[in-house]
Amino acid sequence: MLTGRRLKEEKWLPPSNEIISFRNVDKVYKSGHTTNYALDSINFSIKTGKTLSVVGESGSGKTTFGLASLGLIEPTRGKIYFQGIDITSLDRIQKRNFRSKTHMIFQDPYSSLNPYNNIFTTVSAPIESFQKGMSKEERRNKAAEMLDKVGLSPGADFLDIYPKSLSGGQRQRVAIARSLINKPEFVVADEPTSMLDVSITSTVINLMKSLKDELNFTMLYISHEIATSRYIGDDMAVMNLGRIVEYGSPEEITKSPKHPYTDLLIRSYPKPGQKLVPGETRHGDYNVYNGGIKGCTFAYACPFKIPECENTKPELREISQGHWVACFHPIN
Amino acid sequence: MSFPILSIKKLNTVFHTPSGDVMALRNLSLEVNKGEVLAIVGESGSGKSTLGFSILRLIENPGEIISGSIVFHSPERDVHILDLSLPQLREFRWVNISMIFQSAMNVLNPIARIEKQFIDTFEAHNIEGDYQERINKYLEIAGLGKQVKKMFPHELSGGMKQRVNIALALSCEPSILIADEPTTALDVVVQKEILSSIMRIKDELNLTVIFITHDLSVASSIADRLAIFYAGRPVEVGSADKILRSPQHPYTTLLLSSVISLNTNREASLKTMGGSPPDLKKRIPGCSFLERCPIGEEACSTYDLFPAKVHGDVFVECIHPGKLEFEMEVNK
Repeated sequence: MLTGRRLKEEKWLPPSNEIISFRNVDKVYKSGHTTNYALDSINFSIKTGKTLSVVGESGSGKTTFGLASLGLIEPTRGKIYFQGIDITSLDRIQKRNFRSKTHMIFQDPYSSLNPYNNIFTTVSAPIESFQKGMSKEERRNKAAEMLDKVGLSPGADFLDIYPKSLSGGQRQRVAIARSLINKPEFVVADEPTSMLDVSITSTVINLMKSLKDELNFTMLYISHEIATSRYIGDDMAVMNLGRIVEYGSPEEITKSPKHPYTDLLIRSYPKPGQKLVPGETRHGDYNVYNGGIKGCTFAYACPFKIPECENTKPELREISQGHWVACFHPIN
Repeated sequence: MSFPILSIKKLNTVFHTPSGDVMALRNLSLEVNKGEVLAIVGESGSGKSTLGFSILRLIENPGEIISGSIVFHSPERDVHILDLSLPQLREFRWVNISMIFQSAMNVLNPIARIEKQFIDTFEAHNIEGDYQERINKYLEIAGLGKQVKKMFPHELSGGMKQRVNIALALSCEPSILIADEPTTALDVVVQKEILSSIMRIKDELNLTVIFITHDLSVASSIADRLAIFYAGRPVEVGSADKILRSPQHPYTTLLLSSVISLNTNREASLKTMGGSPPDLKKRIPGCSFLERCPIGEEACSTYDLFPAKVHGDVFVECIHPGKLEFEMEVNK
């Protein structure tokens, strides 16, 4: 990892197997006297064709990470590349082109669907704006076909109804159909199941996983829920206060977490059929405003803290094949 | 030896809507034993929150408790909650039964210092004595420092606000605490802290806790007994250990198998439950789960709902308790 030196960014090109590459990206929110780094020098990439799950608590910057990768917010510093092209400085036509290749699935299917639009209008909106010249008949057929794919069958029967007559799980299927109808190459799903009931969560996760295999896109799955993230992800990144603190295979991270923060997350996760043992929680105070953190973002509560943690920023380093951690004293 | 502190008999709560009456609680009977943690688990619309609100008679128009009885057994006398007059109800609430509400963020008055909110509570419920001492005591029990008294809600984090709510709920020394999804809006780490506090306080103050949640993992981490709700009735009630080890009702079985855990097989697709809950506007003949039940048969549609006792203290409303085979990876 290169930091501390000014990079000649125009000469840097991301490797070809990366669909999204973050290069020294900061996103700073200022409010009054507090400065909050929602993204703090992120150097990170998403591999083409894989599902990356990002886990973290609220305020960890995971949603900002998703929005930035779609170009929906502009980073304060740094560059973000999509298939090798810098999306922070696109002209109008490039931007349109980029938008046609990406899509987002939002958290709340009750507010992400326009109640005044019927399902056909909602689902076909992406092809209507990006595939001009298609007749209404063709769009209807395509929309119905897509609805069939997401398990709302027969799709044709759903085209003319309105969101109010759908359940939460069905609405989320509609949202998924809309996001995939234009065959995007990159999809961001931000907590797509957190508003749904347990019994429906599994069906939606199954659906997303099978559609990903069928349509072959890259997915960024953002969630605070570590078990579903582990299940759906090919890779997993753990975020804490604007930084990625651990990255690797979901299986390995959840079995043997190396960063003390990941370890805390996993230990706090309630296990079915297991009684809670009171005690062993976070030590120290949690402050979401991280403007002044020089060292490790978790130093305030880390049980293994050494003086270095307060003053030097730990960089992500590979401690075993494919397993990266930003910590001076990873857990063995 | 356990004896009931709260007995609910044949309770019917409906919500009058333009398109018909929604039977939120259907002839519900349930007993809560002194000193236990009873977790009420169900999906949205199963009536679990309605039950909490019905116990404290917080159901407001268009909702109405149309029949049934709720009896609170205090050492001195039995209180029939549904027969109390409004002034009596005011004296009864909080002093005997109090509640922590779901949205920690929105319960506190944003323009009053925490101290003021306590004093309001004491005045409303005719509490006498040294208010300051009492506030300090309950803040400490909930794991907060004295300095919180002088703060406004916006100065507190979500977890701290929920602790203030716990302190407020305990401040009139109730015998029963109803916690309605107290950790839903919180992150896992904070969730664990709050759950541990509730466990600790319960022992310190000899409380009975009714814990309402949609999350079976959370419920199993703190409950002594579980009541699994479906379509406005408990379909399975009994010791948490027994239910989690061998669920008897097909709904419980499917709910348990659809829990995604850190041990879920990543290669297999997730187990799901098809269909959706029944429309509570219609009269449901027989078993309410029939439509979604994999082992349902003709006789279920005329089954007279009656909790049958199976092993020990577990009650199940099913013709074939334990017939649906249960295999769960999460316990391995």
